[in-house]
Amino acid sequence: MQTVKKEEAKVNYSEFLEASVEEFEKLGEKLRPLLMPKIGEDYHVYLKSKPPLKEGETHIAFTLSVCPECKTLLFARIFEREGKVWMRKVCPQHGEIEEVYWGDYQLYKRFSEWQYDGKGISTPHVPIAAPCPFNCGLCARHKSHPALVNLVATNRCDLSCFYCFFYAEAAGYVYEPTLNHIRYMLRQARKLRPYPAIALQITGGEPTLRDDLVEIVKIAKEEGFTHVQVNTTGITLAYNPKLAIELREAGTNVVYMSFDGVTPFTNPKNHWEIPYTLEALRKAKMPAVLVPTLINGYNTHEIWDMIRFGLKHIDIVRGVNFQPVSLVGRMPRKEREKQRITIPDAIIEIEKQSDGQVSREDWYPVPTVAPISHFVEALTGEPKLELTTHFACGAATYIFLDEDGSIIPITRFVDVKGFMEFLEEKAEDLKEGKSRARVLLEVGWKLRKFIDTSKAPKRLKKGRKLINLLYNILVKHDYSSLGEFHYNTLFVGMMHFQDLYNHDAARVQRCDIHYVTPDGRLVPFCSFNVMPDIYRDRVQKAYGISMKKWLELKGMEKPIIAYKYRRNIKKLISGEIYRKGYEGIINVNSIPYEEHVKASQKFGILVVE
Amino acid sequence: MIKAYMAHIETSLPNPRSFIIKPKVFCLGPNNSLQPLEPSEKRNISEEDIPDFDLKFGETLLLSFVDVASGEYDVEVLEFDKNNECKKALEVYRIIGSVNAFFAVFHDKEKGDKLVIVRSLSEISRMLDKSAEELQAILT
Repeated sequence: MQTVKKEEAKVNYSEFLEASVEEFEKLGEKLRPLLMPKIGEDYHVYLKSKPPLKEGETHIAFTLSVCPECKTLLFARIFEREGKVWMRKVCPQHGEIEEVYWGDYQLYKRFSEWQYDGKGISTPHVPIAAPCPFNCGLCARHKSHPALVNLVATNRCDLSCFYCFFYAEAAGYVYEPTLNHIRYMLRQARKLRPYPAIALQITGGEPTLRDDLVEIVKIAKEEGFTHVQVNTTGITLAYNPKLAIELREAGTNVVYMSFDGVTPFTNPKNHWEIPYTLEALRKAKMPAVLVPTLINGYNTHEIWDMIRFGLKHIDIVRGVNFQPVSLVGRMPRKEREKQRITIPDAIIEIEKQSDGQVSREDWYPVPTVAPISHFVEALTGEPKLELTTHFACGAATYIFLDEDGSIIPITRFVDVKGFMEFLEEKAEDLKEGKSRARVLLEVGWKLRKFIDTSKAPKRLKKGRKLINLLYNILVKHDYSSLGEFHYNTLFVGMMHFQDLYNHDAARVQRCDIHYVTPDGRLVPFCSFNVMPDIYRDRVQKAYGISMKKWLELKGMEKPIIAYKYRRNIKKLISGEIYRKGYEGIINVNSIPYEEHVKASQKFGILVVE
Repeated sequence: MIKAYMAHIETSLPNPRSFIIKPKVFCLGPNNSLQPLEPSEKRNISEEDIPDFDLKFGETLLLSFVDVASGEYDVEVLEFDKNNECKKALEVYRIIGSVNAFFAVFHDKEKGDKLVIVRSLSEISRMLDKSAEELQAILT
């Protein structure tokens, strides 16, 4: 069977539809070296000079980055100017590239105090043969184990968003791994040590287009993933609530749902369907996380309203996780400056729009919580999941909704800094052999020092309730205490995925959100999507199947475009669920029907009546 | 050819660490006798050394050239002639600074020069069948 053409690394995938897990493993091992980026063809290296520092600038650090034009690996300088953090690199062929790295230097300084590096990967899937980031798979240089593994279940999508080049018709092939193939990929993620992947996101394309999505969730659970989330627009679930129930029963923990704003103009992707989707999830008892992509000047004016929308649906919405836009493709500097928003910009915007209800001091970088893992690890002697991304990658806070409707960020009644420093110190004590009983006694005794009960939400104020809950979570790993602590809370997070302009290899090496590829590699998010030609598209094309062949195999007569979603706005906006879903957030009566239609069609989704 | 690295490194953000890296390279003779080798060339680290540098220090110290590049560094590459008659060789690194450790890289020409990295002095002494004290005396 001539299935692998050596030079172009292409699989005749239709011959593998019945293949076993072991056959996919063999195939992956054969193809992996051929799919790795090649120096001279895919990238170049130029490290002969460092970018200059100019007048009025203060040097912070150097890193390695790439030229957005030719992917030459370059030295990059990170520096402060006029209160912002910038990155500068100089390509010998394409000249100087300067980009805002972080919009606020003071927040950058505060966040930089919270870097914890992970323990690395002791079972890498690829040998080190090229400089970072041209060797992704993961290799022994990588510092963090995966906190979340993404599995692309399909590149088919029922939408054709104008900015997307990923979906099947745009790519020119269908990528849809079989169930055995998926099992092989998941096993590759679970093989990682010292800590195997435990959280999986099934993504796409639109994963709900697969008839066997429930089966994929079951396979993930069988393979040992304790957390499974489905990344979707939610449109399918709005029309098929039974699927939400089936997904929940199969073990799906949460639905991760695109949500770019509260109006049709900022969120033409799924504005009309979201209330129906939330209703379906409510019936299925399936929590949701809303995921807005932030584009400066496009939807940033609604940033607080998006959080308010999450709070309104707090019975089912567990979090709002903002993603400042990653500027993919080539873009002139002026256009980048217009669209660019970084984590501190978004944090400051929330502070402004919420009138200080959530302020910049309420936010911490992702690795802040690493001491909790260190403490539990030292206590149990077992490796634990650590969140050790680069401090500039993400930020988070927790908001408690009190009985009277007021909002209390966790930082108002917990001294996060003091508490984490204390836990790190106690983890060290345990590692050095200090008596476990003595350390636990000290934790129980000193916990109150970090909590101001008088400022806590009313339900946590009674007696030692809050202290007991925290002690039970930390020391006894008691899930019911964790559930009680989280009741009526909203996680608000930010994750700024990189692009070629602000790309920082130090961030890539610490990435803990990875994609498992069909050849069995684990590729950091910001390599997979930022350099799609050498990672995402290359490997998915190799395992892809032509559109014609796919339609033939599925017995579908019409072209794939005929199966795209068409929206009946009239029906959607007349429903009580829609109106109640946005009540108190926007005035739905103030938007004429024609404006709804225009917003949807401009985005690329046809409207029917 | 064997490349070894002598370095003084102060990394910067996101994770400031410092390392003094001192190498010794030996030819591994009969009965695991250690014959010190002298470098045939010394030069500053350059682009083509990065994969080899990262292979050795990435696995052992979680230190890569990206970390090195972040701050101040002086990394010298010591090249050892590949034409020497040594069939098996050993690079031993003493690390002082943020981490205090020894690690070794075994080279075996007969096994296609596949590198074997050993991460501690006790493991090195076990592989060479020498006491840790004897080994430490040779290495320091």
